Amino acid sequence: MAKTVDECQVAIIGGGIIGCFIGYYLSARGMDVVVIEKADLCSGATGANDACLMAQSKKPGPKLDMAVESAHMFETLADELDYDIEYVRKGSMIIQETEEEAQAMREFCTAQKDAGLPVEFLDQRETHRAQPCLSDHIIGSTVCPLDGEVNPFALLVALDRAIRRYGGRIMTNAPVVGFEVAGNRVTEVATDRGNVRADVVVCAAGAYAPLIGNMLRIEIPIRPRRGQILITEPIAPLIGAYVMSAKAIAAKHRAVAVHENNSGKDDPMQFGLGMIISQTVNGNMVLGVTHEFVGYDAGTSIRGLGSIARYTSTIIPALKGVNVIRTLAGLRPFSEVGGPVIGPIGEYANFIVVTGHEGDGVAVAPSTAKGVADKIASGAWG
Amino acid sequence: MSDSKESCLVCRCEELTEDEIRQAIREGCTTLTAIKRRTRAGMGLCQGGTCQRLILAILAQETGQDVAELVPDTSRFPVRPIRAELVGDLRDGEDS
Repeated sequence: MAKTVDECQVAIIGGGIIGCFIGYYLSARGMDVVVIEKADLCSGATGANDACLMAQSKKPGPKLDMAVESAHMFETLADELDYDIEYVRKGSMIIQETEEEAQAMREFCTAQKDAGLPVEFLDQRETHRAQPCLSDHIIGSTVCPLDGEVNPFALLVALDRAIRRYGGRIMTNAPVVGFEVAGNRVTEVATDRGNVRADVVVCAAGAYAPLIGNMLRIEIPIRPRRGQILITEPIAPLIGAYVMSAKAIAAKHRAVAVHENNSGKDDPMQFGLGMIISQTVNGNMVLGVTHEFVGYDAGTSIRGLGSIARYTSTIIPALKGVNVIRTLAGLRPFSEVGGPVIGPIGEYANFIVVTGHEGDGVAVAPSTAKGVADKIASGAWG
Repeated sequence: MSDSKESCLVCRCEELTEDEIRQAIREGCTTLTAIKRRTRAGMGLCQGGTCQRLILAILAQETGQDVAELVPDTSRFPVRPIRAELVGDLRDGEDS
């Protein structure tokens, strides 16, 4: 048996947004935690993030509730963590390019309004008055003032410091290589840097969760889905609310005919799926994002980047002349079961899985993590 | 270490000092990429053109490693700033 280098109440596998938030809420309650990260904090999907916290893209139900609850939690997080996480609430805008999309959004947002989400309908004139940079062909939009943006890097630094303040430990460059078990309990997490003995083990490894599950012969229904993003040079304020396309929502929720743009048949942005345009506090434009199943390849591709640049430039023509300075890609945890995978899984009662939020990890992390921490601290899980 | 060294500007684009880089390393950053994520060093217009070698030297010194042993930053398109319009001209069949 490998050497035991640390002992704790809860070992958390994964130093991304979900793992660190769980670590924070547990340690704030006085529990002893160790976060185990294979590379560096924020090196996976959290670090390849569009920074937008979206409630408006969700239909009424648990996901919307989690996003709304998290949005309220974000209001006080900077104070609570005593760190500037660059949380700003400029709202979100979902633009419509066709009459079908407008119709789909009328139904979609009416249901959201009925569920209590603040959403406003803007006609063509109001839309262009709100965001003059938009292309003339945009016929309308919906706006949700509750939606905000956060700097995920700053947020992780804040959580890292808070966990350490409470006495928790962060192990980086420590890939998990196996487990020690006794009966229906996982007793130790084995890493490249030694074993961590724990009463409860949380697997918040995002898209890599199935690989961790394999070590215990547990099947976790998650697939890596790649998202590529372009970052431009900082420019003067161009947009207020971040901009999304109604195409994805129209396609997903109403199965209406979706018009192809002229960008080719198997173009990753062909349906505008997940299109996002935002501007950071620094002024950089963030343009995204693809949704691709390419296994565990976290590289960028000319095909993906080209399609993002083409599509976003049709929405905001001024983007054409802005310089791209950086590109990134991350593997998001796509759930095969239609929603996040949260709770004890398999034969081990103290092995808790928390993943499967795909592109919504940051938006729902506070409420998700608080819920998980409550279950573990109360003894309901573990 | 003298005061002037502590306030020496390492990343000009994002305005980070040598002291801030050393602080990030002391907080657990072990790679250039980790320092970049934590501090924004190398995230500006020049994308690390100036500061990358300086930060590697500091990292080597702080961790007692040789510069050649350090994990290089992830290299991705583009090498230098390129207009979004030109990125949009890139099509299938070309590899990054």
